[in-house]
Amino acid sequence: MIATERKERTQLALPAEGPSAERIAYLESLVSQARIAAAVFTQFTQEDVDRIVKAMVLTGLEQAQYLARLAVEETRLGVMEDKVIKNMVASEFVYNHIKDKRTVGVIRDIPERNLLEMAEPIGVLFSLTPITNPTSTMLFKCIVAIKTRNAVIFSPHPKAWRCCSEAVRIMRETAVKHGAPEGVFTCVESPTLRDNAYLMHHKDVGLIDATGGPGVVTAAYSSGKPALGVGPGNTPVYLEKSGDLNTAIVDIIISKTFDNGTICASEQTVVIDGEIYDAALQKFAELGAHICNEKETKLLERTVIDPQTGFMQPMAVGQKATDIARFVGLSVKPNTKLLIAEIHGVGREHPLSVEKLFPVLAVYRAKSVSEALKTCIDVNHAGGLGHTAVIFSRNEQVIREFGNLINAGRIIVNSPGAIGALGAVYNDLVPTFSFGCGTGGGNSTTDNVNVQHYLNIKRVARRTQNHMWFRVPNQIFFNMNAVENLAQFPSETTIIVTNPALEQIGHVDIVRRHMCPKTHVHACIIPDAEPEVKVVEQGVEALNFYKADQIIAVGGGSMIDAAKIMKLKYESPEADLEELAAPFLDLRKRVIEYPKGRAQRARLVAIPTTSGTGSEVTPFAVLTDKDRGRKVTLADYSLTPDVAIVDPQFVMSMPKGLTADTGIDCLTHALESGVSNYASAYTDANAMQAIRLVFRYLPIAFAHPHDEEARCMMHNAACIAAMAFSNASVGVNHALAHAFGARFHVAHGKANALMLPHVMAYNAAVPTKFMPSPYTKGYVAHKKYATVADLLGLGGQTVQEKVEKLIAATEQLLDQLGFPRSVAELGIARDEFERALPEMVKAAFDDPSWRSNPRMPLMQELVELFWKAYEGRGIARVATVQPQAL
Amino acid sequence: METNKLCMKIDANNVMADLLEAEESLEGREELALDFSGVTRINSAGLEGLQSFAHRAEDKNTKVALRGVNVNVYKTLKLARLTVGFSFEN
Repeated sequence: MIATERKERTQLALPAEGPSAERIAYLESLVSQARIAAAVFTQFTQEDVDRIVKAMVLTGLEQAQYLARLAVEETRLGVMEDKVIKNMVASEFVYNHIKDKRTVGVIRDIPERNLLEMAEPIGVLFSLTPITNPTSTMLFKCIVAIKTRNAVIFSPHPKAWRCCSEAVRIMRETAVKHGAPEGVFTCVESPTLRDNAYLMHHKDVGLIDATGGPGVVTAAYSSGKPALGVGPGNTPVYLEKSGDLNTAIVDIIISKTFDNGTICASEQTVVIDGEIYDAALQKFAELGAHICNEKETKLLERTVIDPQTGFMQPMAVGQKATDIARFVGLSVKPNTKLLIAEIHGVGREHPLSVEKLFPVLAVYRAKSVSEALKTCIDVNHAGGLGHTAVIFSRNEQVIREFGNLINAGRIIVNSPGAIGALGAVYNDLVPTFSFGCGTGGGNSTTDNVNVQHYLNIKRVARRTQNHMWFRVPNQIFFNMNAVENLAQFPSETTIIVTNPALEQIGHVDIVRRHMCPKTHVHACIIPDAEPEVKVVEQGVEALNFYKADQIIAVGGGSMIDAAKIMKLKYESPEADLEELAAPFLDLRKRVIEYPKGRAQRARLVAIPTTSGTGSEVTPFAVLTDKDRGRKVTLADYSLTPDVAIVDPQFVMSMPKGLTADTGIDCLTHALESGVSNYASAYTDANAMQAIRLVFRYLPIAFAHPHDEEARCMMHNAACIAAMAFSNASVGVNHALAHAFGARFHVAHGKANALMLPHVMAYNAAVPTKFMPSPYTKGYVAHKKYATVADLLGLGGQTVQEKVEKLIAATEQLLDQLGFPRSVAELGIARDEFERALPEMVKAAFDDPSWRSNPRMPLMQELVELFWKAYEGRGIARVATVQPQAL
Repeated sequence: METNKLCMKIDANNVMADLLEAEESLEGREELALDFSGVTRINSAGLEGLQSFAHRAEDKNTKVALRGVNVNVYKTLKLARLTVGFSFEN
């Protein structure tokens, strides 16, 4: 007879009071020894611990029989020969798994992720070990602890204390002999529940490793300490009709009789398909199982299952089938290995459907696969959640379905459950003597516990700079009469997208003249200044009707944007514009994917008729959705036109106001992409050149609209600036201008102009909040403005002086172009502006434009910037620049 | 009471013996420095010796500085809670 592990260990959670002062002093001495040993251990190298581990493993193998005999003599459980095998598995198989594993210093180098994983020992472990697998669990835990440089205080089950403490002594002496610190393993003498509770709550214990009954696990997890609590199971087995019956029956007998069924992963209820049920039982009987009749089953269940608790009777645990039969009063053959009893359901009314850590096996006849799977689920949920399950089948579909339905950390296929779950014998599972049962079993892991659970794994994450890019259209033609290049693009059917005014002044005719001969040309005239969804849909209808192979967009940014979206919908009709417009933070990690591998392709040629947006080379498109009262902004490099024709003849007649507005839009693009967190040497080259061209040629183009050179250079500047911001994005100026322009219907360029000097001063000052960015090193916005000032030859000695001169030059340019000096000058009343402010701030903060801004704008700072724009420009009014602190 | 600060070199191979010798110099001494620069690894006995030494020094009101302790040994002392009784000098 053995004491009940379940009952004793359940009491662990409820110690009546603490240990005596004398006992505390003793327990503290154990902790102190372990703490010192753990501290010393941190200095050991991988070679040091590997040398000790190998010696321990060899000792474990030498002492396997001795320790097995001690275990059986003391516990009166199990089979000595099987316990020898367990001890050898705990030594040899575990060693085979861990010998080449790195557990000290760098344990894994992942260069492709710029990551190192490094090991940090836990320190002191408090380990409770079971009666069922006493010495093998000790060998396993000692070897794994040394491999991971931890010290362990053991508290074995009281009924297995002598064999366990002997195992610990043998392991400690070998380890210390080969260099391990003194005190690395200790074993609490005559452990009590109070001792265990005291140690579980001790501040110097880093981890509790509790293997045993539910009480142990509950106590471990209730201690407030990190814990590995590995408890009981109830293994369902599905013997499916396609399975190899001979293999299955032998495997089940091997497993269920191994060490008299003491391994908690062993088979408990075998659910057998009706078609093979009788044959299966016959084979069991042929191989030494006794099949109980109904009367014997009743006797058995009354004796081996406690009718009060519904759990197994401890007296039966680990006993031989013949001994159990004799105790129950069954007449069986002398060589009977296993008692088999049929059950007709799962639960309290079917006592034998619970965990039985002895050679008694329940069997269930299933009429269908569905019934079999449901019964296995029932067994799984009757105390076996998260633990182990077994299936014998050749049907991969059934195996997967079983795996999907059953909640078990180990689902063993066509092999013995107990030895299969131990790992490394019948499969490639990690060898262990502690089965993690996941949350289903109240555990933190479903793994087979091994070295990785005895380590803190530190990740050394090096700064990683993502690849950057510079993407522009394949072909850009520029300078006067660049439109002539159209002739080189063959097309059967071309749709020209434009608006009535541009058609009227003859732009479409010019385009037609230079197209490839024999091209069928149709015009798609978009009446709106800002194209909306319905108009785009009409355009797509035309593209489909004419089966166009080329689209030529002639117009300003809105017109080119409309053509980009027409092309997208033409080539990918399933594209959902609303979904594609979903917000994102980083283009690489965005949730939405744009359509790929389009069936039909149409070439998109963009011919801009303004010098500002640069839409002819950008991957952006904005569309108005009047029905929903909002704008849809799309961004993807697949939207970028194939060909850009930057021909100044199309802007020679641009009005002065439009020249100024679009010119400042271009300057804002260049300045913002120049200081953007995504800026690169490639985008800087474009941004700087565009800024230079704007400062030189915009005043001329504004004052002398027919100056061909000025128009040409401004047209190029817009395109060059757009190449910069297509790849480096813009900044907070655009976010403010979008919000303000939308609320007060102010043209985009003018709105940009009102914000620009304030934003430059803002970005040049010490940020209240830096923007996290892996692309930039340090804060450089002010220095980049200073570089621009140098490029423009503005003078100044210090960075601060140069920034101030650039802001002054910008203000001077704005004055030259006749821009208002303040929002107030637009006739917007102060109280009206104030009322609109919350809405504008919200819109500006939601705007993706500022995500690449070097300085992260706080809400209050957006308010302040809006007020600065309202109050007006003038260097005295612009925020103080404080670059020196950087 | 002697006010001069004594510095004693600790031999990596004889930590315990050197600490015992150092204990003899505690009497009447306000400050004592132990030069650990040659100690690259310390074992359980060494840690226990230091623990004992710290108690003796405290009894004698002697301030003890450990000089030149390498980082691995320092971490070991930290984990063994032995950094409290000493000051550290580079």
